[in-house]
Amino acid sequence: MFSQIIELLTSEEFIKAAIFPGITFVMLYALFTVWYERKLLARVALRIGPLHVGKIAGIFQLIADAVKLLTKEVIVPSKSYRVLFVASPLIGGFLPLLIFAFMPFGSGWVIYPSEVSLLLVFAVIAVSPIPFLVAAWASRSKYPFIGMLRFGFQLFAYEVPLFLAMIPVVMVAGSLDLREIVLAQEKFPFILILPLSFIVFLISSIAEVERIPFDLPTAEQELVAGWTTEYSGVLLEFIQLGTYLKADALAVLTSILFLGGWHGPNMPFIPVEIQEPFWLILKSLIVLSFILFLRGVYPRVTIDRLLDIGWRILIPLALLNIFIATILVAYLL
Amino acid sequence: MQPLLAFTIYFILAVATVALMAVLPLILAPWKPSIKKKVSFECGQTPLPWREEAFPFEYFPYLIIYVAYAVIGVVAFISSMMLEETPYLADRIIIAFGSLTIGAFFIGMQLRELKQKVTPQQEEEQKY
Repeated sequence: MFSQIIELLTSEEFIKAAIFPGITFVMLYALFTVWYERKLLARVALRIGPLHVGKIAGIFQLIADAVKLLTKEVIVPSKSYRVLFVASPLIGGFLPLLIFAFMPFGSGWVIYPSEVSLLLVFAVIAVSPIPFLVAAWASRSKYPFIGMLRFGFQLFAYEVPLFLAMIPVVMVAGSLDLREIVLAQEKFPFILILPLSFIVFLISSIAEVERIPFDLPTAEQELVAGWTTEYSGVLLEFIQLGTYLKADALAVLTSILFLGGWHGPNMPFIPVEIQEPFWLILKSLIVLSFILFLRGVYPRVTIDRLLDIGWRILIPLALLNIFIATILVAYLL
Repeated sequence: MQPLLAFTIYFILAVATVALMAVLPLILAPWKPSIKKKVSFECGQTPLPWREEAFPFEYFPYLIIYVAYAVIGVVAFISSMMLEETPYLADRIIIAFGSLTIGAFFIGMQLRELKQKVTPQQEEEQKY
């Protein structure tokens, strides 16, 4: 029995699930994102950012913040739907974790390889906002209600172009397997032949994770904290965890679909097993930096502008891109 | 490697992480319930009482358009899959996608005049 446990703990399956690209890596990546965002935005605003907690660049500030939220009293408003109010953030924090199970970080670094991994990833991405919509509704309060409506409209407007932007990639790669899609980019990344698709996908991703300039559902100046107004303590931590995990997942997915995935210049004396995740994580950090940077330089758009961009601009552009990709696949590639 | 086993372990660990984070406050956090804490947030003021009222939120036509575009998205996806299996249908698929693109741009131009939007002109009309 003991030897079987040791065998399981040292098995490839356990290491992938528990360490890399498993739960330890995913949680550390989410924590890093929070710290990185604070430092980056501080630099944009000519500030220093977290400094005092932890000797290197205030690195332990986010641990302090996490402990603070974990040790706060969980407050459930008396008018709320108690069960849904508590359960929704838990599910909303859990679902984005699943995305990483299908995401390849190298030719051998994937927890669950699947021939339809892109569809599985998109399915989880599409489902993940629903617990948050339920959470907003369960709050039974004014600000969350308005935030929920905005959130709903935003999701409707941007999930369609997000899905449409993936189709040309599938057509050119000829597969729904994310590993095959990366392998198809060995000679050149898809951003070079599908730039329109990349732009549509990136803008839709930013809207999907409610980042500025598309953060209308949680607009502080207008709605206090939007649909998260009634949340505090660990429940708020779950909401933030879910949002940051989704931003991380979409940054990795963008790198896989358009930036050549784990392909990069060969580094001598470093094993391929290390090089591949290195290049993919580096690319995803560049995408993430862009997403986070927007918060420092752009104002929030109004809801009519937000819907205009989604319905009137991105969807026609995404369809145009499918049209171009079809010609490419049928006659040129 | 057994992918299903790896996924199962990952799933269990993900659930365990969430469960641990949910349980920790029960041990660490204080428990001092009060009525004031449970009142809905109203910027520090006494919350206004509830009243049933129609809420004039705009842009509902977009929800109807969403249904249409969602179906178009699925059709586009299936058609693109067909391209690989039936390359001799490429011309028809290109015509179909071309028509969809022109249609989408046309609809986009029409949506600019969507009546439900609050425009300065409509605000002027409301005054009178």
